[in-house]
Amino acid sequence: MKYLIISIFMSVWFNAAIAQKDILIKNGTLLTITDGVKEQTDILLSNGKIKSIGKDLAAPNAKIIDAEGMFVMPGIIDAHSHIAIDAVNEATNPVTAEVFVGDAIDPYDIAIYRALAGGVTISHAMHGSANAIGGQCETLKHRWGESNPKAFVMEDAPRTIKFALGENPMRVHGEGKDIAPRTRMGIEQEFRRSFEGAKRYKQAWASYHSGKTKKPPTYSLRMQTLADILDGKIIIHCHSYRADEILMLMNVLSDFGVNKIVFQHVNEGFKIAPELAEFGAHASVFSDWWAYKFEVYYSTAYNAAILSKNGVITSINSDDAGLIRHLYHEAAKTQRYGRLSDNEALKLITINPAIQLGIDDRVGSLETNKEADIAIFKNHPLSVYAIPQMTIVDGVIRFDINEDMDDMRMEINPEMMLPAFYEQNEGHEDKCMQGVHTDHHHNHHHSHSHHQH
Amino acid sequence: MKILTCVWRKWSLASIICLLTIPVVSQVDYSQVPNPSNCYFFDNVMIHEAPGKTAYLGDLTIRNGLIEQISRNHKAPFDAIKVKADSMHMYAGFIDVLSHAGVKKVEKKESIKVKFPGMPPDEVAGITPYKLASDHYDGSSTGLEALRAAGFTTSQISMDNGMMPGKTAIINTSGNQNPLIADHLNLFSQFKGAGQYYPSTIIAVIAKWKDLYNQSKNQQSYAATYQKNANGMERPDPSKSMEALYDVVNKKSTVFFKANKKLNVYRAVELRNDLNLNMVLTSVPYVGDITDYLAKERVSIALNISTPDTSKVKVDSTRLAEDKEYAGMLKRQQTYLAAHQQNAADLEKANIKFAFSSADAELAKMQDHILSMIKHGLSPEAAHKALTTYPAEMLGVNQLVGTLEKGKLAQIVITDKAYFKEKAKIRMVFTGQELFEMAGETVKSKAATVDIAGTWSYSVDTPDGEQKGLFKIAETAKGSYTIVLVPDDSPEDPETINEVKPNGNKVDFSFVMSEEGFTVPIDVSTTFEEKSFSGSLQFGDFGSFPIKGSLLKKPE
Repeated sequence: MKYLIISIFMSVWFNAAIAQKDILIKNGTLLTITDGVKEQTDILLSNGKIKSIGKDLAAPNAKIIDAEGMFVMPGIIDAHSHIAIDAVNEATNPVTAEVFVGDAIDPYDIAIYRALAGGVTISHAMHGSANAIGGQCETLKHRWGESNPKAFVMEDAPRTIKFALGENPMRVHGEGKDIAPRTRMGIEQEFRRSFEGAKRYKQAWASYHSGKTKKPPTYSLRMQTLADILDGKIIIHCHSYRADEILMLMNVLSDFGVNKIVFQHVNEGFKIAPELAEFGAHASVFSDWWAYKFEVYYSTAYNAAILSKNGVITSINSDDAGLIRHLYHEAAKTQRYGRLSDNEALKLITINPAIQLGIDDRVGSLETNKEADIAIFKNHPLSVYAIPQMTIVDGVIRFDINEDMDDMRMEINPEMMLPAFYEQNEGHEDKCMQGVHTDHHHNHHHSHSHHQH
Repeated sequence: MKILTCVWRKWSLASIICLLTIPVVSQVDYSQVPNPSNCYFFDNVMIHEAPGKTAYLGDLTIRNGLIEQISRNHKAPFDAIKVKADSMHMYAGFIDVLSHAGVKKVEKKESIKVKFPGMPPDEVAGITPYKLASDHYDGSSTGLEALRAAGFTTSQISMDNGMMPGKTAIINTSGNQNPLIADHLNLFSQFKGAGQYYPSTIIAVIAKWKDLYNQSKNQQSYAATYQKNANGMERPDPSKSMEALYDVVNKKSTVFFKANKKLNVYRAVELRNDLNLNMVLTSVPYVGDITDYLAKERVSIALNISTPDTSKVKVDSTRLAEDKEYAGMLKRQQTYLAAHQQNAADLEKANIKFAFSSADAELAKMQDHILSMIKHGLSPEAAHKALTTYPAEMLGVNQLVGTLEKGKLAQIVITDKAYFKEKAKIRMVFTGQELFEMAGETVKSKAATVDIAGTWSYSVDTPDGEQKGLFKIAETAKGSYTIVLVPDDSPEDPETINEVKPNGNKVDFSFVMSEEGFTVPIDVSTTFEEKSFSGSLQFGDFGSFPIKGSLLKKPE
């Protein structure tokens, strides 16, 4: 009987979460990001959208949330993450543009709920950095409680793809398999060869469709994806550290007429901030994470601030299932290192990552008609005393600190008793190099020591 | 195993003449001597013609492998072998939607050198849709014996290597030389990567499926145009993999896709929808909570027969009393256990037709699993359908098998008690024109004698090269072993796995690797021969990698 009660309780909790009801958040301090700070202001959420923002709003049928003394901000967006996916690296080939992590979403990864508990409503689930051109990534909405992986896809978000420079692809392919690329020069050639191939692939199909040739070229999802990059249909997110390599990739992209690029990590971005700004490249960085391998020593905690001040659209990301839970603290570090204003700091985890993912017209700030992705904090989110209270995705409460039970797992192995943390971390290291260094099969050299970003 | 205690009614004149005309030879292989008659008569058995039909005591005659007569009372033909099955229960033989039994293991070709792991030959990549299970059929396999012992008389068999191992064959489980009921029909596929070669992960398997499908589609249509008028056209050059997929593209062939976890159900259905395939999911686990989705998507399902093993849940009562978190987790686990047990019942409630597949299932305890489903709400009729009429429809062989009807193949299972009501023993199975008597409890696996004690080398083929080490295996109790896994690169840090109990020559064990807060469950599944073993190692969600090894020394 007691099991039944638990079962009912869980199902009621999830169903309640899923039921769409208008929500009126009263009297909060709204950190709108794009329209300043609004004290003692209400925000009404209806049909998954922000319906109105203003004082003394009334909505008779809405669920009322009293945010008196609380801070209400747009849901935090993480532009670099590996949570909630079952496969990260297809490390068998230096170019794997055809693979798509959206095919392997794991909606039961507890890391999603934990991210929600840190105010994060959207994460960019990325392919890893084993290959020069890795797979396509997926922008996820944290609709925790849904069973179908497709429910986590942010509908119509632009396509994105992972590129990688430097040591990781060199180590995996050059050292690991004795094939190209073995050097940074080799990595450049992977890009050039791939884009050149894609150009020819496009030409071959055009020639077939126009009737010039009668035999269709061999279909290749890889070449088609690369051609889509050339056509500007896919935003590149490139794992990068060293300034010289970043300049190299911008040169390559110029040669092929590609301009949608976000550099990830980009630890030496501060050296070439004006060049990045001129190219229109974006940067998604760690606040203060470095020295986990040789190419990441030349780093500074002022990186985000320097990039921002030089006009580069900059975000702060997690790349980690632990760090994603306190991105607000990560953003706050730019105030200590770089003296960014509150709004400049908050932009790093809201509207800027939204721009980088091509979804800034829908999320990233508190504006009417934007999607109702909201995080409510006790104390200012940039304060060390900040505590996330409630996280709303598309107008549905997915995290509520007052309804936060000990065990929030979605799927439980009925035959194996494992602590919640371990069970839900099966195979999820949520890391850039996941699935590559399988030496931890036996000797347990797990990559959690950050050296594999 | 054939019943030799049958009673001869009288000699037929024809057979006497035959005997007289046999030329005298110096040696006779008696195993080649045909049965004295190919007609069997079952007198006074409880006949369950089809699910939902009332059983009755009646007689059944089989001739040349077909049901010749079935009625409440008829006379035994003069030449019939009378089978003693008085008052036993007779059902149409069970039909298994997918198994890997009766198929020779395809050995990995060591000779194939792969310079670029990202571009392996199709064979290495696990893409061999042109291979036929019927070409790799092995009638002597212990797997077929296990299927018969569980009451399966028909099974769709397939190879198991890689993402697209080949075409299936629908066979009778007799193990005889010509067991085919249907061939070349369907394709088996799974989200199984090729270890260190492309495709290694599930995302690459899915991408590769899309490539193969589109390539096959384009080439097929080009080849057709070329055939009409080749003038000025480049020669088509379809590979045999492409050609083997033509029927899949045309939807003449159904893809039987292994979906052994809930997420893979979603993913396989997504692939089906993307490519507009005919698809049946096999080895399907607990899906009782997503029946709305399954109904909406019209998913064809072959459930894994195994229900959760309650004995695996060990409760630490001391901890239960003092550890609130532990108590809470245990409660939730019990809730899930209950839900999983109602899986089949939930599907029936939602009017979702399903059959069963035996691959990955615990066949030896099959009836326990079926009775457990019935105990947890599945109607006996639905269980009966899931083992007979539904799989027959799913495999497109319902004209031939699935019910006891005049003219259908004599594929029959006979039990001592009503199979869907109470604990019953399977006493006989008739399949492929042969009668098999089940000796007693269960048929012993031929390989049961393999003793795995000793020191073995192992190597795992991973995307990052070979990982090697030793298995030190000691028998701690009769039939129970302790395995100490000593990796070459960190011998100071071995893993010990206790109470490993081989099932025949199958040795499966699991352990959880944990280090500094990270854990990965490892499931190893191997087949041991006298001096070597091979199988696979599932490394959490990273993927499954081939493992093999050989005996270094036996214990002194």
